[in-house]
Amino acid sequence: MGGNLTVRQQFWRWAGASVAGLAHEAQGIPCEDSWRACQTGRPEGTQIVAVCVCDGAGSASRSAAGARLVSWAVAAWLSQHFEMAQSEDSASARHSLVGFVIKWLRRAAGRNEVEIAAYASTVVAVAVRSDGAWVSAHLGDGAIVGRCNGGLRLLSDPMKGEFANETFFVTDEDAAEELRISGSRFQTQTSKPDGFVLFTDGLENALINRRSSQVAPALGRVLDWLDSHSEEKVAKALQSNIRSVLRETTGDDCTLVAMAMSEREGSE
Amino acid sequence: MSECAMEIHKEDLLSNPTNRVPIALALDVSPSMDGEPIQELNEGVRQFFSALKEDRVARLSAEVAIVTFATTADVVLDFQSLERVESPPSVQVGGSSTNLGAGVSLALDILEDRKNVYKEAGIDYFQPWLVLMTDGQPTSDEHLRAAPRTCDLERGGKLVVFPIGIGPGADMDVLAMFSEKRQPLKLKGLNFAQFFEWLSKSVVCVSQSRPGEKLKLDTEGVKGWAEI
Repeated sequence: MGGNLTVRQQFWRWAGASVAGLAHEAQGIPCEDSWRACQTGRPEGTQIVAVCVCDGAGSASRSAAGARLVSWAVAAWLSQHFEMAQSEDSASARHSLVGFVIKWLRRAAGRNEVEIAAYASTVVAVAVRSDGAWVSAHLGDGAIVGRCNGGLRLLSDPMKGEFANETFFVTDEDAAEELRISGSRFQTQTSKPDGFVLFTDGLENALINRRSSQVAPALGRVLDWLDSHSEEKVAKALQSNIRSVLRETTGDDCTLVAMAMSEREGSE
Repeated sequence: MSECAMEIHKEDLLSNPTNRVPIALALDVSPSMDGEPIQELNEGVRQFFSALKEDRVARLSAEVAIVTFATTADVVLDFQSLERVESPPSVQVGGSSTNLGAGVSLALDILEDRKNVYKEAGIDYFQPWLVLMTDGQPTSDEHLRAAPRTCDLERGGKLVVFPIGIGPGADMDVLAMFSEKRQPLKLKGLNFAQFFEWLSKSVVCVSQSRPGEKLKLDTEGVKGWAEI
């Protein structure tokens, strides 16, 4: 005679917000940032969550649509190809991911009779597995911060050109070569982050010190919120804080997504 | 924890230096500029500084150096924060020739030095600008060495060049050697004030530009100061 065995199960929760920058709002330009999360469950009970935040290029004619499409495509690819992204053959992963994104952009560009450069966008993405393994994909500005043992660490810093208005986009010819893939498999530290924050370049100035790589304490607060509140409440709080505090530090659009690991009781 | 506690405070944020736009003015101060031209030029430069200081972003972002050239080239004002320049120094006519090439070379050298200062300090910066103004013809061949340097930098997207001719004696063919992207323009009369007003607006624009945005100049505004 035996009952179900109660075990603690780990799972990921997330919340995010995109807010148009003050300069865009003043000019009546819609927000050119976007974000997307994709969750997949495996038959063995493993959960994978992939989140991608994107900043559409200001000079691109369909930047808002570009950010939407790219965030969806990257999150979808990472959630389906987590192991491939983690594999030793990172060149294959980089080419497969960029190829998948470009395929969708080509369809949109073809329908609208524009070049795919019209959809130019940056990529800042993280995929996590319920066992704590993670992988990131990053191209262009924006950054990824992780919470490890209670402390915050810059996991992927902004990728910029020599000049402040130069960055990298997924529609660049050499995007697959430039895409930065990182993650638990590539790093020697034993502790896996139990929280991530991804954000676009509008928030860089307020959230990271470019010279020292120091991370703003505000991000620790945001992850704490996610530990103790519903995702809906945190999303609302993010929206309101970006609007009232964070975007005062920039004219640019602002997007921030936080992910935190939780535990719940399950049975085997 | 209540929902109202979910607030980010300004003290939990960081700050970084404002992205800089270094602008070198290379100005002809040979004897032919004496009188009204040099007075109007000085007044235009003063207005340029005032206009930049009035803008919320540009006053922290723009850094302007002034190089003059006649027989020799000299740095009259080196790059520094605008807040430290109460009023730009008036440039004085001097020398007996027009060593335009030496002026451009010196301006490019100090722009390069300034970029290195930014890099060492971890400050992000935009493409440097070079504004070249002359009313005559070069009296040495040094411009033949300086012009390919500006064109190479411009081709690589590392420099924005504005060659401007003053008065009927300006050699527009020589000025055209300094940029492959931008035709030299001739100032309408002594409309320095309008030119520098246009320039300050352009600097304000670039100081607020975001990654991926290209430099868009007010081409309509050019008509206010240039003979087209």
